[in-house]
Amino acid sequence: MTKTVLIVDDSSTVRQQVAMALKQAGFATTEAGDGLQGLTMIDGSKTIDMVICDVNMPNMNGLEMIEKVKAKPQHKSLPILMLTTEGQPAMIKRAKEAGAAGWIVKPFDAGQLVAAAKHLTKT
Amino acid sequence: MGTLSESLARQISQMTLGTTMQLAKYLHLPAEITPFEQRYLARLNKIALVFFWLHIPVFMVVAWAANTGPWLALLLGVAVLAGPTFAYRTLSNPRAISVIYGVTAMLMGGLLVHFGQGPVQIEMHFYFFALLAMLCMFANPMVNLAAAVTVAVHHLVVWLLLPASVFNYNAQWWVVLVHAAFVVLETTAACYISREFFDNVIGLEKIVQARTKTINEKQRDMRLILDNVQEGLITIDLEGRMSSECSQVILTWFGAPAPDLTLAAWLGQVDAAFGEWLALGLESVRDGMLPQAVTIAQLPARIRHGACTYEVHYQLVGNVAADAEAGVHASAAEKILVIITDISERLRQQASERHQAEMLQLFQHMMRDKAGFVEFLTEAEELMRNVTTGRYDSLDHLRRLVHTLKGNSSIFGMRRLAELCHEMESGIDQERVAPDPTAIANLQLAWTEVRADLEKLLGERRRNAIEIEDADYAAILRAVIKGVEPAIVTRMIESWVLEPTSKRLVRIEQQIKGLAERMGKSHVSVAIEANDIRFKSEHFAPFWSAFIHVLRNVVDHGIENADERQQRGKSAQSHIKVATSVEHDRFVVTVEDDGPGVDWDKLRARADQLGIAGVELMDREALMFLEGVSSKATVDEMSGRGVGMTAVREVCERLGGTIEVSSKSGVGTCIRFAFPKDQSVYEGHPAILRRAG
Repeated sequence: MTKTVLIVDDSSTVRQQVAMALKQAGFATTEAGDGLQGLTMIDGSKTIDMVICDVNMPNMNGLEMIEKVKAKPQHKSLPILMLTTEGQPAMIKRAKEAGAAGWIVKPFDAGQLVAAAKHLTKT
Repeated sequence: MGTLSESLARQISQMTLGTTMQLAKYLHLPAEITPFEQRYLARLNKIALVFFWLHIPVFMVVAWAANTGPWLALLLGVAVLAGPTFAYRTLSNPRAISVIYGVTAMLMGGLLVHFGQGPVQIEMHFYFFALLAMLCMFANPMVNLAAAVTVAVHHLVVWLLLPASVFNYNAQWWVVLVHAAFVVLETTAACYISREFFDNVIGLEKIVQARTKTINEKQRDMRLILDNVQEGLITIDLEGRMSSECSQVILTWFGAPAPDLTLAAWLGQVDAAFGEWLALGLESVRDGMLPQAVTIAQLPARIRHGACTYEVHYQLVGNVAADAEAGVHASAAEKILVIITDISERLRQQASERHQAEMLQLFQHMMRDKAGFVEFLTEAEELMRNVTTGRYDSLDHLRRLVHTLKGNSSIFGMRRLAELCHEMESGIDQERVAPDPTAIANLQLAWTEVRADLEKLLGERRRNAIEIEDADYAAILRAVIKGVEPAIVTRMIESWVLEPTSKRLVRIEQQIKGLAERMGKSHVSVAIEANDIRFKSEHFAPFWSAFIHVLRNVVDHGIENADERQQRGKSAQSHIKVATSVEHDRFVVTVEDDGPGVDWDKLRARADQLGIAGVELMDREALMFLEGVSSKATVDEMSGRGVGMTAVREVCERLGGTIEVSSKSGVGTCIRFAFPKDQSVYEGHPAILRRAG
């Protein structure tokens, strides 16, 4: 069964790059432009198997989104992968504690992104 | 036949010889005596000698009981022990003493059998076998062999000469053979035990020594590599704990670590950000939420230490490689090989090469368009000042300042500066915080360097020399030869210090393309038409400076997206044309696009919305140039310079110019700036000559 990945990033270029890499590896993707939109989509959908999110976004940043998502019992097992620059270890640390699976440093390697996605969605 | 049997015999004899040699080698110990063997044999030889002397009272008692003469037992015993005692005192080789003891032991056995004559004389023979076995303690087959030979000779000789000394009955020759067979059997086993005892116990020290030597050699080789390799090599476990060995160069770079420090803590003292990321990254490698190959690739790759930069690679080591080779799913690695390379020199070299290339480009740009270049410098200087001294209203404003600087820098080929700006811009985009002071300092430094380079290049310009193009020179020559009136020739010469609009238009073309790219409208082609016109730079400088707003407006509103163009039946490519011309007594600058045209009603409504008084009375031009002012973004970006779209109009008016806007819905817009054609404008040699007739 095709797995669906939600990509949350305020940069359409990054979303496009991530989506392209995942689609080529056989994933279906859906996109959100900020944390707030991402949160709404996660809550409203039952088909999202994994989330890839940026850390710095307007309206609601990645950390806040992860904390809000993971606070809900129904999302406890939803894997979330962060895309980040080597800038904010404190933020990443908190996100990990909140329940994020891990992170990939930007500019990311498509192969690694796909490997992580496959691992997290068990495909 | 004879030959066959001969060769067979030869072969057999060769084989026999080979086996004998092997046997001899087995029985004869290697010459070297280790200190351990020396100590062992010295002790054992001493004990054995005491043991032999203790036989004498026993023999005397036995002789007394068997009535064979205790005093004779004393005499013969002392006679036999004189030899080994002398050997013990004089010989330096402990093995030689042991061999003599082998002989001694059997002679002592013979004495016991002799003095033990009577009903238990045969039982006394057990002592030979007990002694033969005990001799294995010397760990030397030669001792066993010497004993065996002695007992054989002893039995044979004594049986022949004095049978009562060995047998208490009339033993036949085959009885002697039976005794001999037992001796041979025991000796064979005893030799084997002695040799094995020697090889594996007494020689153990030698084995250990040999292994230690090999290990030391290997370690020495390894140390040699580690001491001389230019890469920093160290292994860590998944907790970040370091192995005891690392290449020397790491210690030279970062100093010796305090004991029990993790790699992250150690290198964190050098580069805090690196240490923090490494600790965090290793946690992620350990928790196993993602494949190790992925998490390991996220570990930090650069260490910055003073003026040096190091590149760091991580490689999983342990069973991983072997598993992969065996085609087994790789099990989790327990160690990471960290490879650190000093790339400072490489970076410096790259920077220097880039610097040279940039200098060349700068030079070319300057040669092509000096006026534009100087203008760029002035503008960039101001942008830099705003960025570095915090003269901006908001993060977005800062981002735009940096973006403008980036665009300008790349137009003039200053890649390093453009890259730094790009990094800073992306940083602001992603982090949504102002760049840290280091980034700003780096930008400032890059700018200072560029300035210094430019000073060198511009030094030339400061001589106030005028460069004359070949075409100018030819034209003036022709005019003089033809006798053109002096006033015209003077005018032609004066034009040398004016700026050709052609160069200005090339720059404008680049600006439009840059703006279009930034606004995501790269499907635009730009045409320029200079018409050989020149103008006085200082006079028109304020106009050109404000002109960027017109261009932004055109790119923003004058280019529809591709779908809209298709719906209107237009080509996918948008066209913008900028031209300079002289029409009658006016110097005209036009900007034309083939976009959607101006939606006047919407514009009027928007201006109305903004509460601008008297909108309904305004003409179209006034309205249009209000729009720019009311756009927040424009005000922000230009606030530092105090110009906006209104400024364009003001400048125009100050220069005695007019603005006309003609627009047709769905077809395009043309904005026309017309200035009086006075001394500050020159319409080109052909036109002026034509007019002079």
